[in-house]
Amino acid sequence: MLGNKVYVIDYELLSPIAIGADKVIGSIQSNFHANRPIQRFDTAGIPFKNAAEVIEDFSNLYESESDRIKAVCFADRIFELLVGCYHLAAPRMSKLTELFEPERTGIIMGIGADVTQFELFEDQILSLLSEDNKAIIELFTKLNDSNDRLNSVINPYDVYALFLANKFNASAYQKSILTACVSSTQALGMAYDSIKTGEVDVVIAGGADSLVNTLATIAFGKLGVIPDDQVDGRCKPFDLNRTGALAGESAGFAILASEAFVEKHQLEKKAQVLGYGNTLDAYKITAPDPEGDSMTKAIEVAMSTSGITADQLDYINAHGTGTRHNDHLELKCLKRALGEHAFTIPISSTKSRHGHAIAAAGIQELCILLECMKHKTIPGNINLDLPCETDMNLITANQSKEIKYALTNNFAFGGINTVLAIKNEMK
Amino acid sequence: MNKYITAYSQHLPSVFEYKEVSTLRKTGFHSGKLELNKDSKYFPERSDLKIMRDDIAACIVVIKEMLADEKFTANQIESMPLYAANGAFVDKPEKHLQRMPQIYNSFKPEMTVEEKRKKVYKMSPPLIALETLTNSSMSFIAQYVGLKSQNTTFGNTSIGAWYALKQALTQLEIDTENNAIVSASNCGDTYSFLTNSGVLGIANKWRESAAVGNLMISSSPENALCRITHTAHDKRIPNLDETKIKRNWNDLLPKEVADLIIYSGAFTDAVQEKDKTYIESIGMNAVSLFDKYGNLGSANITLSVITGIESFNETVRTIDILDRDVYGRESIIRIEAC
Repeated sequence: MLGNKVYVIDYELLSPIAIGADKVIGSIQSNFHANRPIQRFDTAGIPFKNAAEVIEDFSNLYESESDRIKAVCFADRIFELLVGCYHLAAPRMSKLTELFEPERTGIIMGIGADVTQFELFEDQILSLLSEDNKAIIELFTKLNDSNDRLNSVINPYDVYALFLANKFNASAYQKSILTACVSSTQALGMAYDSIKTGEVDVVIAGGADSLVNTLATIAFGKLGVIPDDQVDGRCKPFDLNRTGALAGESAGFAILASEAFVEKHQLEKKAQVLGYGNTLDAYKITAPDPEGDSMTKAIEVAMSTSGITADQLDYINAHGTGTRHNDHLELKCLKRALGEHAFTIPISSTKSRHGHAIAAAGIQELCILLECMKHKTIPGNINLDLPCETDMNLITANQSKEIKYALTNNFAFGGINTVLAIKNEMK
Repeated sequence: MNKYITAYSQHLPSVFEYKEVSTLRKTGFHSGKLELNKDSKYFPERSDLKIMRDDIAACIVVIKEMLADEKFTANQIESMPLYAANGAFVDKPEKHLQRMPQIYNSFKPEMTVEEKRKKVYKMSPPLIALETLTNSSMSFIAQYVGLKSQNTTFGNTSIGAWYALKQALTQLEIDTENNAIVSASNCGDTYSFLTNSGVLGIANKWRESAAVGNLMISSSPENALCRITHTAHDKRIPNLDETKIKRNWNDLLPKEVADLIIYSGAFTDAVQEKDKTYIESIGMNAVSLFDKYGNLGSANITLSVITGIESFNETVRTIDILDRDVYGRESIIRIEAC
């Protein structure tokens, strides 16, 4: 029952550095980064000015959708990113989708906290102000008064998986994973389990999230995760002078399939998910365990379940948020888990390019890793001037090198650690 | 391989009130609230309560009681998988939904955009990201209980608990661990009403309560309270364009009739009545927690399972637990007395 191999047979990404997975490699190789002044809302008076935002208008991608879907896209940025991402992939994936047996096809989406873009509704809020402070409640009530199962704002989180289920005719299940920065990484891990145990043949797994709105930017800024405009605004993972994360947004998904399904339909394998590690710190919701025991274990379990050894790893795509605690701890745990090999394996975080997409971080970084595998490129850490660990291979420039085996790490607020082990299957 | 339920814990609402939501549209709901056991030795620390929903605080107390009763060692607990199911992530509307209008109320006509944004920035709660963290239930449980293994949080309609239970069953198949925890907590309240009533197109006579239900799933029959003999769920993809409720539970039931059905899914008395009529039409004895508490959201399924375990007697030996989420997704779990 557990003999099934799990392959990635296609993937798509809508990211601040690439509208489409096929655009990723050009962006990586030219060291493009999307750290720029926020355009979606006026940052005057707020000490956080920059984000990695998808600044292109991609509404043309979903112009065939109903007015109702478009209305939700207007109000819910996470939904819009996902709908856009689906339509990027739809023409290419239509033949593949025909192969899916609905009852053997599932959806697992990692979704971020729903934060209403109040800046879109300021005039309405002002018109609804009253002594009982119910303007937001009145606004939500008014916006969600419809005759369908779609809200304009504050949908149940399942709506994202259900949207994709309707598109891919995936009736086996539609799951939503809600674990902050590891949401989509866990979605990929759970998809792996589901295929490996024979529950389904195919899973569309991924995630969507956006931090680029007034309230989310303020919330993460006040937590000290995003640097204010008084400091060097560059996101600098693993740099001695790193000051914080770059707020981001993204949507993406990968199509995972069983070996039997791939063989039966003679499909091209892009990569194999070899295994994953998934642990809890059980420490504090506000801080990671400084010893990193569970983080280390997640890396170790990813390695042991994948059946590979540390000397086989060609690259580690680190979580590397650019925050002081995360980066220090991640490197410490890589050393503990991988021993002497941790000093030689190329390590980089791509978040200085595309920002931290929270629930979509895992799928965004997997798609980037797959494109780098395809194009034999190891992405360097851009903005890394003074490495915080000089005995590790924190590469500062892109390298032309084959990646056969890699790890991709994600760690979340509340102490959740999820690590995927990936094998390149592209010829 | 057979799987069993060996322990459970719950916290049900005991304070009921009507809450008006929209003054303009005259909407509101009947709400059940949890009375927290603040005297418990397991009650969370004050510093954490600042960012903790009440349902999570209640969950921590009863889950620790459950593990203490079962006399698990710290090492055993550390390696147990934890699968959580959560409903809405925002409680205390006065803190979250009514803070923003206060900010807008403080605007003066002569203020510039920059001055207004400064107000928004200064008056925004500093810990809002943590207060509304989607995995806070799971992470707080881990923190207080010491769980460090496989995990995830499913959400945020009631089928999340069914997925959590299924994931626990899967994990016990592929893992060497003997036990896994399924923890479901529903915060209910105004945000949940605003979210779910919009999806169902129901604005009045809504009944929903906060609640917590935890299950210990085991591979071992030792001290088992019941055996899980069947799980299934609806394979129709919900149509997002319509709100009509279609009842197909009958298609999910095993051929051999159970002694009792415990069902959930309705948010109003009118829908509950139709559910009852449907289940009676297929000739089953049925009860529902809705009658007393209203809908229990993401805790519907675990609390129905617990009610089932407590209902076993000489004549009731098999029970079907039926649920329907706000999108109409139906599920079944059959439990059999050990």
